[in-house]
Amino acid sequence: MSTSRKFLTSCLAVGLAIAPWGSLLAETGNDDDSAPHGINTPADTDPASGDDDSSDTSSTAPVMAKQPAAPDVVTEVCDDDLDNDGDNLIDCEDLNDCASFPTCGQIQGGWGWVISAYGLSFAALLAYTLMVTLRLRALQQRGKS
Amino acid sequence: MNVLSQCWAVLAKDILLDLRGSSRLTAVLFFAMMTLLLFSFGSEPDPESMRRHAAGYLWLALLLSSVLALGESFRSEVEDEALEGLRLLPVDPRALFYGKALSNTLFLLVLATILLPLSLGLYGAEVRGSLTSLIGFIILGTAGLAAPGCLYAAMTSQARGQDVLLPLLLFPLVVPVLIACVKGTGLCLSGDAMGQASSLLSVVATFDLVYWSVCGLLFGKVIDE
Amino acid sequence: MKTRFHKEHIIGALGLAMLSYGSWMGLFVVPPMSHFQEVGRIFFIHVPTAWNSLLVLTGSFILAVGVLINRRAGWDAALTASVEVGVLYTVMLLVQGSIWARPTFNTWWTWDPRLLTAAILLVAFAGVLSLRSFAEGRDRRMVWTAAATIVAYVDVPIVYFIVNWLPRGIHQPHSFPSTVSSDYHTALRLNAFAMLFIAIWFIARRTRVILLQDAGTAMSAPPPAETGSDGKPMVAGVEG
Repeated sequence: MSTSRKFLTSCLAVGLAIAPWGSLLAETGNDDDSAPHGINTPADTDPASGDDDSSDTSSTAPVMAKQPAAPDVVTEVCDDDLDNDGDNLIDCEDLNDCASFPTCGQIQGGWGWVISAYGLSFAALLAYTLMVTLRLRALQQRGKS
Repeated sequence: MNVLSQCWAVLAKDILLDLRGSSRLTAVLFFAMMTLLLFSFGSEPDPESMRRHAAGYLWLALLLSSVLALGESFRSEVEDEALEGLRLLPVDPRALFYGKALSNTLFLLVLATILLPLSLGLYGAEVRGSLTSLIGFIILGTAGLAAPGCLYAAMTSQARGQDVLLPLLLFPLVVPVLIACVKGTGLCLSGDAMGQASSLLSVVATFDLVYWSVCGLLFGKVIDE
Repeated sequence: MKTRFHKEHIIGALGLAMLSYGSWMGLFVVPPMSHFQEVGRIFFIHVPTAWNSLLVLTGSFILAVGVLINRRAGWDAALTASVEVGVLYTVMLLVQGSIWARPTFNTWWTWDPRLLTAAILLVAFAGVLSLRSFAEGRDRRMVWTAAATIVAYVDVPIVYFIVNWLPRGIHQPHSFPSTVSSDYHTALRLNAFAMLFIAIWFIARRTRVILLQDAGTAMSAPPPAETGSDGKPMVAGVEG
């Protein structure tokens, strides 16, 4: 096996090695107490604070999507941080509508999945970089000789 | 000769060839029938399940058969350099494309006409919805298979690995048409209480419009050497 | 011997730096999402990859039209390179999406319209690359690749707009500044431009590889036979 292929194979192996460890970490569960419990807990709310200013959540609880609810919607949409059906219960708190929604529950092993996704992506980019660079170098050498 | 009359001449040539030697229709028909039977072997022998999936099986059989039919249609052009002969006449490439696409659509329509009652009988389904919509899906769906199929068959008939390339190129493109036709045909068979068939027909018609125009524009470039 | 410095290295280096900083921000600086928690940090690599895969394939469509008009080898090489990079980004996109879906929806795959159309996109453009490897003759390969790219491009607007046409799927709607928290804008934009710059670097390098390969193939082809004054081929420079 040529040197370039060994290099390429090694990099691919490194990238692929990250993913299973990440997935293993994720699957065995990441029961870190510092992770927020409950899907609706704002990410950086100070638990010691007695201030219950629930009207200003935009700075303490960044949300994925902010979409205004349609006025005639009677069913709760379970992942938009809005009280769609007017019962003062938002998303997963509204158990009548959202008890069986897939993401209403603590997500296990978050960092493991993140490491897998980033690791595999970077490995793919690196592998392609190496393939192109080594191939170009070989062709340039052949052109000179 | 203008484009329309050239198109008609190409269509008439293909129809005549098919009528004289019906080996292509017979072979593809028996392949399609075998495919329908294989689907029933591949799934559980539950009559209700078969009835529900009859539309899917029909369209999959049509799709797989179209690959054979299209490949064979262009193989006969490539043999003895008949395609080059047509180009040198000269025949407008658009006329050539639309003539071939129409003849393949007609071929698939004939095939579908035979397969539809066959699949209804095999899978115990019946037409509870609109028959007009069902005919619409059959016509538009076969047209949606024929147009991109002709373009790719023209390419692959002149390349190595044609048996692998044609389905590889064609299948991803016709998936939207396939999904709409399977769903629409299923509604026509089981009953369309919500009246969704017309919107699915317009989806298929839109794709047909796009493919027939884009593929017609590209065909001339593809067959030029 | 001194090698020439290619300008695309500047773009590539910028892309790498931006990707590093943007990913660091996405992983360690921005707060976790209220809904997806830490897993939501995949957003900062997934969305930029998605945007750029569609953008690169749109670029390949433009190049394909250009190839059909001017039939230049450089355009053909750039077309092939951009289709390849588009396929790479689409593979990455599907893998990232599957990894995100596993902990959040308890499945690696679902028959959501966007996922399905993205998978079709991958197979369609992979088919274009396969067609290229089977076509014989430079001009034929050029034209067929361009034609197949134009037809395969029909799926790109479908992938983008399908979340509007069929909103009941599991996939989120489009990510715009108005629908994404302002805490995430910087990291998202950094990574989006980073992936674009990296794609441009990839396409430039791969184009050079293809041009050199084609030049090498042309040089290694046997020269045309010399003919003598009687029109018959000469053998070892001797007529007759």
